[in-house]
Amino acid sequence: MDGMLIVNNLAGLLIVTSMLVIGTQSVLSAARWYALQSLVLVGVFLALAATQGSGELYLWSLSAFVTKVVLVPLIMVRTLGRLADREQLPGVLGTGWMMLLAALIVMLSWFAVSSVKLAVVADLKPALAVSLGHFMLGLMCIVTQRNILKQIFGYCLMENGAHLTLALMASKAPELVEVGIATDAVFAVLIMAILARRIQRTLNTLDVKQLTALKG
Amino acid sequence: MSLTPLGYLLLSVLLFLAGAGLSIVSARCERLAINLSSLLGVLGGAAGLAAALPVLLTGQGAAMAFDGPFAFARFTVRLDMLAALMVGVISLLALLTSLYAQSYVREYAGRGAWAMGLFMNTFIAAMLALVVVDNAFWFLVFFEAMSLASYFLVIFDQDEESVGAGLLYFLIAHAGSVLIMIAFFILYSHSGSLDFASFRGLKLSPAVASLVFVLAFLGFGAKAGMVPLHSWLPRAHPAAPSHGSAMMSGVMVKIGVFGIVKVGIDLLGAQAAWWGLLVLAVGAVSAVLGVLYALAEQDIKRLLAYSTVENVGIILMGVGAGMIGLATGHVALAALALMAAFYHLFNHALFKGLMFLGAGAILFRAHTRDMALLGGLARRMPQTALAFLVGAMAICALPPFNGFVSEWYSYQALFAMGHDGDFMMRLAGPAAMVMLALTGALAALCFVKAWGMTFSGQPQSAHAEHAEEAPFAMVLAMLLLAVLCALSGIGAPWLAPLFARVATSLTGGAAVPVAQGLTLHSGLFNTPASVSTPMLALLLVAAPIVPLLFMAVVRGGGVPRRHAGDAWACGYVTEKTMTVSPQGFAQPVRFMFAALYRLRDTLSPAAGFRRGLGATVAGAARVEPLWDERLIAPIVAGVQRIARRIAVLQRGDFRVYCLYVVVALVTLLLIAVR
Repeated sequence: MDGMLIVNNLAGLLIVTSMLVIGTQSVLSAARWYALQSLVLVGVFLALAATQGSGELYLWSLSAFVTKVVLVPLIMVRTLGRLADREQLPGVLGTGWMMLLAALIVMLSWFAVSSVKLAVVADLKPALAVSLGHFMLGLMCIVTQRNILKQIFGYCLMENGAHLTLALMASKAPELVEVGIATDAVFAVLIMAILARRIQRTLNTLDVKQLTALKG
Repeated sequence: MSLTPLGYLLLSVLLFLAGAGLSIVSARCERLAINLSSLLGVLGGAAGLAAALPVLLTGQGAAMAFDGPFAFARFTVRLDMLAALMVGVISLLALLTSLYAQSYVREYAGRGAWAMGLFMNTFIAAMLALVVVDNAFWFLVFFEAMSLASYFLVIFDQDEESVGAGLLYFLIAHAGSVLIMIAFFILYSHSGSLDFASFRGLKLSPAVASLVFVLAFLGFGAKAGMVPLHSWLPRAHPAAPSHGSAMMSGVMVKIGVFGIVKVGIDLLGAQAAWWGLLVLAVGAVSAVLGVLYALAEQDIKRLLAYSTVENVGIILMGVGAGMIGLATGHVALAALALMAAFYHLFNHALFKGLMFLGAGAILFRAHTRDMALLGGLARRMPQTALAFLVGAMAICALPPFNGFVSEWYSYQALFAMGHDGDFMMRLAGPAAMVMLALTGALAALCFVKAWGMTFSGQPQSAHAEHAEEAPFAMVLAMLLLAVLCALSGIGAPWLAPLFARVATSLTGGAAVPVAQGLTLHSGLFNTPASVSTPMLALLLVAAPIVPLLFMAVVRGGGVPRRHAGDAWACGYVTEKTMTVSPQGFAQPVRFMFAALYRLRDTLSPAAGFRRGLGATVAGAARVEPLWDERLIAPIVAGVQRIARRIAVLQRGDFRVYCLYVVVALVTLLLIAVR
């Protein structure tokens, strides 16, 4: 079916955008790539809504557009934009290794999803694998990056992955769930951004390697 | 207001508890505490008598059961004849000692006299409750309460002597409790209930029944103070305040006898003849050794304590003969012997209570228990001397006092046993009789010494010289007890059937005719002995008239004029030290029975306890570091090693923790997929 094909391909595009989010150094570009990714996600929602004839998903895509394409990147840039770019904090792994790891994660996710036997996602298995892999990529971002800012983006990636999974598996879920998810994303990002500012003000760095005072 | 016997009993216990409680409440004002606790003690004693008398007179007991706070043990109360007898004895003596305490405890003013009211009244309340409960659990609870309250009385002075005596008492009393607990537990494991009623109907194999009996006999025997578990008595009684000793010696040791009767006869039905023989033998040995050791004592309260061992021995001889009679089917013999035992139990409470109160009066005025420092008190304290003399005559079984009657019945029972029974009984009866006779003779010697050294002769110390008569309340209590000693001897033809009924309630069968008109009988045996105590009393009162008549007849013949002056001392000037000393008086007996005196040290478990305690402490001191080294230290080291290994995981960098999350997720994913 064509709709499904579109959904699956757009989902594949999510992986690419998230790699870009992880790979760039400056906050501004990371926020831009994130906004782009969220736009892709909105596209996925729209395609799904059109294919499955689900009215709720149109609403979802609307709220996702507002929160993820507009609000979250705005918050990130406005609160942290100037702070984050003062220091160069490269990740633990080089870009090449990162690509390899991402490939490994996607393969693992595909492997995991291949055993799922649900009628709803029978045609959307690639998209499901992407959503799972996206979640793991977010985790990978958190683990491998030294910049707190990137970790917040990592969280956002995880959140996007979870969001996609929900949309794929429960497209008829009431709007209330979507509202919850959206506010969750916005407020979590807001709080984390404020925390990051505090950390920056106190320690004069955003390097998580410095945040080991609680080590036993 | 009229209450049922159980109602009066409850009232009595509540009054004693109120006495204990008010004693604490009014601790600030000791005078008030003393007066309140003794007033409530007197009232409680009166209520207790009101509970016991109807049951004893009508023979109709009462029973009640409540669901107590514990599901496993109902609170069962049973006021049968035996319990009523005990309640009566406890209440009577409690009444008089409470009266006595009103003056006596003032000696302790400023040293926590209020606490004495607390412990004394709790002690009495616990004993009252103990004899009527009909459930093993509650029995043990009250037994412990009694032991603990009396323990605090023993250590009241808190000097080295009393604390040591208290420890010994505590150890022996609790060793006894443990044995009793085991005995009850065995019964419980067979009947499935803690009620005595369920124990009564139990059919046990002879071996199990014998085990239970021997355990209970040793356990209660420790409380009764029989040889060889007697060593706490001569230490605890002198240490306790005198009215406390009177209660402990007069009543509490009888709880031990009560327990032996309860388990051996009431619960187990005296199944084997050898049980009775054991009790008889232990009783006989206790009687002889008790009086021998009493004779050697110089401390008047220790002497009285050893004399308690002797009298418990006499009571146990009666109980033993009764058990033999039951086991061999001689019901009339059993009834007679038990009746003698109960009569002596009652009598001993009276005269031993009296004598401890007398010793207390001496201590109160002369401030010493050492007979070598007393003497001549009959002139200074005539009423105390008179009362003590009555007690001494009663304990020596001189007619017309009560000791004579109960020992007469004991002899009759032993005669009957030697006459009627099989070979074993024919052997044991006369042997026990000889022991009883020996005991009687030595007791006379012992109390001649006790009275003589204390009350006659020259005062041996300044305290004795300046002693005064005891306060009114104390004298009144002692004189009342003395009158009771006389009345229960002269009134034996009326009292004996009462005790016979108590005995028959345990043995079953027809009542034994122990008295007819003014004459005491020995029952339906081949040796119809009889004696009339009222007639004896009359004769004894009449006897002094004979010399008066003689004087009237020979008047004019001229009685030589009496010379006043010092006693003849072979031409030397008389000195105080020429008076016979307590040790000197007993010297011949000590010489003759030297072997038996040596036995005291070998038999006493006190040394063994001390060695055992020392070994336990030393052992614990050795074992304790072993625990540390072998068990606790390795565990601590191991935990620390593991903790250091685990601490490696704790990097401090939160990304690492996230990595753990990733690893866990991946692992779970893989597991889910597979």
